[in-house]
Amino acid sequence: MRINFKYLRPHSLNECLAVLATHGDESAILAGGTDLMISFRSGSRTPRFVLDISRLSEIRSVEQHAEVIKIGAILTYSELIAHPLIVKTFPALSAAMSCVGSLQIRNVGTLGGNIANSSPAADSIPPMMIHDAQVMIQKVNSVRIEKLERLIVAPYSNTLEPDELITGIILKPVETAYKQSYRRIARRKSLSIARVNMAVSAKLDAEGLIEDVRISVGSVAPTPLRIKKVEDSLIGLKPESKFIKETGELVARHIVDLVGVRHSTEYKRPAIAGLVIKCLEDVFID
Amino acid sequence: MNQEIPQDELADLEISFTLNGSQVRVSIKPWETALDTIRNKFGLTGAKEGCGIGECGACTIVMDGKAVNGCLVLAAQLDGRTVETVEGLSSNGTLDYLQKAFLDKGGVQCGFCTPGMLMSAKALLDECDQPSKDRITNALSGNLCRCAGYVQIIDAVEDAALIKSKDAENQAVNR
Repeated sequence: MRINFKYLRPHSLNECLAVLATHGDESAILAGGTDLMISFRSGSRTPRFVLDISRLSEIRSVEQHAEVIKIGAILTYSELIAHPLIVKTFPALSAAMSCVGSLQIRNVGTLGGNIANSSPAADSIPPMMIHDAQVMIQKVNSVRIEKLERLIVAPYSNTLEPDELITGIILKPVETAYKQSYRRIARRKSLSIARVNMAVSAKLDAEGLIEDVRISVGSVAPTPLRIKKVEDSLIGLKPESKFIKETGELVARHIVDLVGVRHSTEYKRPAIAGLVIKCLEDVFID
Repeated sequence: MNQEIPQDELADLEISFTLNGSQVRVSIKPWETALDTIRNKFGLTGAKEGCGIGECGACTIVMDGKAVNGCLVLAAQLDGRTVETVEGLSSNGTLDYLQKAFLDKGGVQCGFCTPGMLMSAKALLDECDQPSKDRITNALSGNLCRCAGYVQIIDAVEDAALIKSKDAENQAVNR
């Protein structure tokens, strides 16, 4: 390691927030460490303090509330994939978490860490966005709840203040009538960064017409995003294969309009369209 | 280097943990990785630094029963944990099921990935007696072998699981 720092392991959430209140701007928060340790090695982060939050019991449980499920920020991917309630309630998110890095990475990496790192290609973020995810953020004596979509503002950048800590993720389960899909394209299956990743959740009404559809795409724009304009235009339509193909083109065109033509557009445009088609087939065609 | 940090803030830390069955105490730098500590302070050089960024799995160790990349864990995080390395697999000169199977099935070529492969496989077999081939592949997918001996390695893990569970059955019968 090229850097040095003081290692702190707060024994409680309050203790941790107190340290952040005084030293937040010169601290790095260590949850799973899978991104942070690499930044120490490369020298891109040189904090004075490293706060190890990986043992804070207050933020490592799954809580079922009346309308929402709250996931503690430092639960690891492996713990969440093995959690029956998570697997049953959030199939797309579970599939996405199974794609993260490798088993060694999933054994330490956390959902809170994935949000804090705010990578445009984060596997877990599109499948949280289709549940209108909210992020619980705490600092000394205060809690704020922020929509995930608003928290992440640019690649690797979010609205977290130095004295704040992500403590949980609040997800709204959908009715069982919804079907979900998560897919990604990457150079290889394991240990790869997604080139395009996508989560879809949809429900048909009694006549077989689209009642609700949510599409979230990652790795194609500065931040993962919901394609609300396209989603809205699909309500009430019949999901036939011609329509699914057109929707693929529509989403791809929408994203190119949004981010402009880039060096990768020639590849990504058909890749996005293809992935939309596959995800929509997953949810609409048995 | 952070010149402005007072020296007492950078003092060594004392940690203690269980290493291959023995309780150990060691003094570490706060920024030292678990891999560096295990290799340099304990001389256990089985775990290797391949990429140093969690992509190759050559540094895989088992912490509290889970395979982790030693290069992505701070030594300070080992405090109070149970750690297993490849050196803890054999006992009294007798190789573990996995080690024997790797030799029998030709699962070792240059050997650089082997300790990591063995520890990923060890964590798997500790969790599951009879893993499917898919589960084995999944458990080893964070371990790269540049000799590309994957087929033999997966065979070896299947073989080890089989022999281990047969032995367990026999022991149960003999009791």
